Amino acid sequence: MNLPPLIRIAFNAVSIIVLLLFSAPVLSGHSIQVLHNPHSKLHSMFISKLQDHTDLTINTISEPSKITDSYLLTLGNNACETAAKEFPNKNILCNLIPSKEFKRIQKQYRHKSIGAIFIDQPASREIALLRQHFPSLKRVAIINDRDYKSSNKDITIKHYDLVNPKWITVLINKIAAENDVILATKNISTYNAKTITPILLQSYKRRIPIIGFSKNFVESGAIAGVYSSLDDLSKTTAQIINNDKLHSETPVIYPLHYSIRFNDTVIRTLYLDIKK
Amino acid sequence: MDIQGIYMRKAFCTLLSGLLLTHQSTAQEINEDYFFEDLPIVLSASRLKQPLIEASSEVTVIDHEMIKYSGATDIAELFRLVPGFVVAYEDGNSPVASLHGLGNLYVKNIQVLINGRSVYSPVTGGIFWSNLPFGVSDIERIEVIRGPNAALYGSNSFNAVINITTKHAAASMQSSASSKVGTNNFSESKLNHVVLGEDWDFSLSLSHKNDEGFDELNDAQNTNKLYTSLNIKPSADKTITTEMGYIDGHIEEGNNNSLEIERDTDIKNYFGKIKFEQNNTSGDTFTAQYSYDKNTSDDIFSANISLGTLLEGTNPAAAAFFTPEQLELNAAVVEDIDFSYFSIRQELELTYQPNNINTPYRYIIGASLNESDVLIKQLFGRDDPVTVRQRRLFYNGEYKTNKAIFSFGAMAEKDNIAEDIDYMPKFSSSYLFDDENAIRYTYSEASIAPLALEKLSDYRLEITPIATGNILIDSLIGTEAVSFTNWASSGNLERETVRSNELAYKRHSKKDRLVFTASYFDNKNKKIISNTRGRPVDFINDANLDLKGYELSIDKQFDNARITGGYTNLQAKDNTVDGNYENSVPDKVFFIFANYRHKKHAYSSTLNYYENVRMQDSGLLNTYTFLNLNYQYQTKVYNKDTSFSFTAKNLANNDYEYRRTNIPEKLYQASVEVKF
Repeated sequence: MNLPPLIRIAFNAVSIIVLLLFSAPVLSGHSIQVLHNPHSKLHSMFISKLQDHTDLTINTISEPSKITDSYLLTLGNNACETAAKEFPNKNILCNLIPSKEFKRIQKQYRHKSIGAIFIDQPASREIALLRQHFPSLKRVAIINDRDYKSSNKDITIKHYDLVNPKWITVLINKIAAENDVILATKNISTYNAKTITPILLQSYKRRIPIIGFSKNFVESGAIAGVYSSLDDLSKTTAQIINNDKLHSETPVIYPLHYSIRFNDTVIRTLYLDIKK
Repeated sequence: MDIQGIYMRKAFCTLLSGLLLTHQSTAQEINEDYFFEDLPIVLSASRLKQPLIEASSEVTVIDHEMIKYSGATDIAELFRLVPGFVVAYEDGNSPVASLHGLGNLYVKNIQVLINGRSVYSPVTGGIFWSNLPFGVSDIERIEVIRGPNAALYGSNSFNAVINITTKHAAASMQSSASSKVGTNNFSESKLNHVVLGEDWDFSLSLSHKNDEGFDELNDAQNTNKLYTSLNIKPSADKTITTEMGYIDGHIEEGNNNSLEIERDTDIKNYFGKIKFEQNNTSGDTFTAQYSYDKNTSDDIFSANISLGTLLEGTNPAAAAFFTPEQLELNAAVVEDIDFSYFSIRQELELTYQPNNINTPYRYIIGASLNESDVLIKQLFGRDDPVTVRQRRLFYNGEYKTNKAIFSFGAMAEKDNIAEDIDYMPKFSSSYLFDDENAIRYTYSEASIAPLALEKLSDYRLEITPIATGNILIDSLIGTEAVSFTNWASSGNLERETVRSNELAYKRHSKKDRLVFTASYFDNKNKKIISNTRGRPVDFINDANLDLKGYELSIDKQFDNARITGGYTNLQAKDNTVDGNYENSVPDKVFFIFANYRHKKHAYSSTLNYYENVRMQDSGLLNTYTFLNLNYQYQTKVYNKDTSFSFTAKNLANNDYEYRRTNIPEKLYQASVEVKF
């Protein structure tokens, strides 16, 4: 049947419109919304890495009012807290968030379908690093983190409180006399850009090594550290969202991928036994 | 409000809470940036030392604990804790530290570095220990590398290198005030202030010291010192370190020299240093360092000269015609003797050290230029300064396998006084039985360029006779002023050299907290420069010295105690008639340092024994024993960390020290230090 040209054009146009209308839900299944801080370089880098590991289209959003999907990725503490507060019925997967902060948010907002991929590492992973690579370091000192525990029987953990950062060198002297290693935990009042110099200098002077919790901490002078790079974190996120086609899964997990870094210069100078 | 706005609000709240709550110890919120923030590279390759067991020389570390419990008031005293070192006082303000002999007021064969800055006098080659801008309590640690090490540190590193590291402001963190008083009018007060910023730290130290010295000598000293350091971290991979110091002092002199004029001298020292260090992401380290050091003293005087002294220099045979009383008569006068000291020393050093620690081969290369303008008018016979210039290029490499370490290095040095270029090599190989035991063989060569004083001295005295009333004397010495040449360098000098072979066994057990070393060494010193007898004095390369010996050292630490000791046995033979050099080498050197701590109390003792040693400029062979005791008590006073210390020195009875005029007394000192 030969339709008049005008009718044929109209039919095609309507077909395209119908196709577009019906395909919209399908397209939204191939994209994901990410709530983030547009001024954060770290967030931009994470999004770029995430794009490398997933075929999903990433729609970045900086204002909560623009969120339309039922499944949402958030980057950082603030985005996670905002989403938890504003969207009690959406599935939310928080990224780039420390475990302690996420637990606080979870407790505060009692959101039923909020999950997270923590930015930090479980204690078991840090203890495993010690056991596997530095078996002679068995007496472990922890500063200002009474919650840190280990079930490993070969490791003895001793907790110390630092009331005033000014006394850190005195405390390290005491720790050095009673322990083999300091395991630095995530605590901004104890370990920060200002305190890192006295801590590392004093620990070096007292010949007690430090296990760090970030790549930069290790480069600064810790002997080793287990951490997740942005690539490790984005890979974990991609693994969750790629497998979860329905975008309903919101697990609460530590990163599946992580890296271990050693500072050979410091290890050699402190003359430590290392098994790589 | 968007996410950025929430960040801003939180930042403001954090700032406000920070202002309201100082020293907050409760956990603060951490965010994702915390895990990725840039941190300064604190323990960079250049700041770290290689493990002692892998070192290519014998290294003794005097750490902060030993310094604290030693009770030392002079930096030179600390070298009594190093095997083979002899420390004695030429006068109360002139300590002398020498290793394996050849000790005199101007020991020139030891290189002393303070935070990497060389501090020997460009005129005499010696160290003015009293003129260092900080005190014992400012020192973090001292490394003494024994044996020639010119391949890395240059020509003064003939016998040893002393590397003094001062306390880093960020490591001490606390301001403090201290005061020490003792017998013999000894007093020392010190104020140390530390300010810490996020990416910088600053420390300021002010001190005043007064010491009367030996009873019989005119050797009191009174010094005020200012020392500052500022460390800046403009970024994670860059560090800028600056140091500045100033000394204003007053010392008494006039002992033990031919003119015997007791007098007071004002001394001043200014120094500044800036060091830039860059550690790039791959761990390579580049450093550039510039230092400026100016020393002056004001020392102009007139002297009456006795007939005996006059004849000794002009006509010794005539002295036989006069009685001792006549020889003591003032027969002449010398006006305007000018021993004022002036030196400006500038040094620029560049080093590059790739971080190839994961590879078996690693190295450091460097270049330096140092230039000094120096003058002692009386000794050089001129009004304009002499310029001493040294240019150096050095390389040190190391190749390491599982069981062996080979290190090799060389320095090329061009010196305008020696008018030559010299090459100083070093080779070392170590075999590691395991992580704790190693043997090492080292061969090294070093040289010392002639000093400006030795090569260019022209020391004349204009002597004006004065009437004694004795016709014979007056007719002998006449009435005309005469020019008397005391020193006159012919300038025909070559470098002193040493070739050293050393074999050592080392045990460093971290588990047992034990360091033990045993070494045998054989050094051949050639062309040693000394002054000729008789007038005028010239300087010549006149002696060789063969020095052999073995050395044992131990450092054992317990939970509450520590014992450190060293024993050195030496044999020396020179080719001079009077054995001037071999007699300066002690037969035996022994020391033991013991420390015991119980709760807030610490007890320490240091015993030193030097057998048959003679300082080259004293003419006396003697055996010395020194015993010092120290007690410290730490407590809190008004909630401030406070320590009290009591020290008793020179408890062994030595008849004299260095010279017969130097009668050591028992000294008792007490101090208190409060930290804020």
